[in-house]
Amino acid sequence: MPSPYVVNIIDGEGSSRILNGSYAVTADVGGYDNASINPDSQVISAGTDTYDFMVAATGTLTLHVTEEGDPGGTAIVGATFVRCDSGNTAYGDPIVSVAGGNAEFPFVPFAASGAPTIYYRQTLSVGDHEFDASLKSLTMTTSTETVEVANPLAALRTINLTDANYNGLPIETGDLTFTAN
Amino acid sequence: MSDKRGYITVRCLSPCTEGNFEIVVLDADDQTVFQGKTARDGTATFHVCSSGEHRIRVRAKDWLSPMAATKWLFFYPNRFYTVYFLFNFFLLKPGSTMATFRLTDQNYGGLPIQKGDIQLCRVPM
Repeated sequence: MPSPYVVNIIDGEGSSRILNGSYAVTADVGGYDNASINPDSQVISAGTDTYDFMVAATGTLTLHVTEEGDPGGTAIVGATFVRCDSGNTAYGDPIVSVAGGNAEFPFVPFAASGAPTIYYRQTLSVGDHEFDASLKSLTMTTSTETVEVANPLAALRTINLTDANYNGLPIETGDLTFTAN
Repeated sequence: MSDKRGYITVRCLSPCTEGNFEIVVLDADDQTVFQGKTARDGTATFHVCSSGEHRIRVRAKDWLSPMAATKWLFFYPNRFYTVYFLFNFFLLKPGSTMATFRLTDQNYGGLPIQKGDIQLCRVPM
């Protein structure tokens, strides 16, 4: 195949048989700033079989964390999220919700059509708040988008403590400690 | 003012039956006075208004030797010139490499790009 060579990338990787030489490199990646390809030139030479490139995106995904999951809800400060791939592997630094309940993923891809799916999951909340730790995903069509995230207060639970040898005899006073596994 | 209009014809001779060459013509002040490509037969004809010394650079788009060549021409606007460039295949064809290209997100270290293309265009060494 003569120059230019077009290498199709799937899940971060593509292969091609290429004549040794010096090349200018361009990218065509939906949702990303294709001018950000780095490096933009590459020498292909015998003995080196793998070449690494990076591209950057310019969108911002805001996760608005409240007890109710509503825009006007009670803000949660300190909820932590991490960006993932479709296999739930985490990448980059975690983001944490600040005053107002907003946590922002910067540099995420977006496009009117053809943008890749963005995966993320919540890893922590604060105080007595519950959260959904499952993998979430969305596709952004505009440069900034906001997702409402609910971290409700944990339900009030009744704990009973009785004597093991006298059925139903309540323990008068004491403490139980629950440690998350 | 003469009513004659001079022009330059560039002829690139090569073993390729569908050769296509890039041409840049620079005047004595390094200003580009023509930029274009040959037709599939390796020929291009164009007018040049400025007189004096000009450099004609030709670059082969396929794997030919030389990959690029330059000729100097003292040009009078009312004359016709034909400049020949001779290309041939490399005696030793450049080796090839089965290469793997990895594309990740610059701001999320290691995050693989789900789908896209990388295009590599050969440039002279």
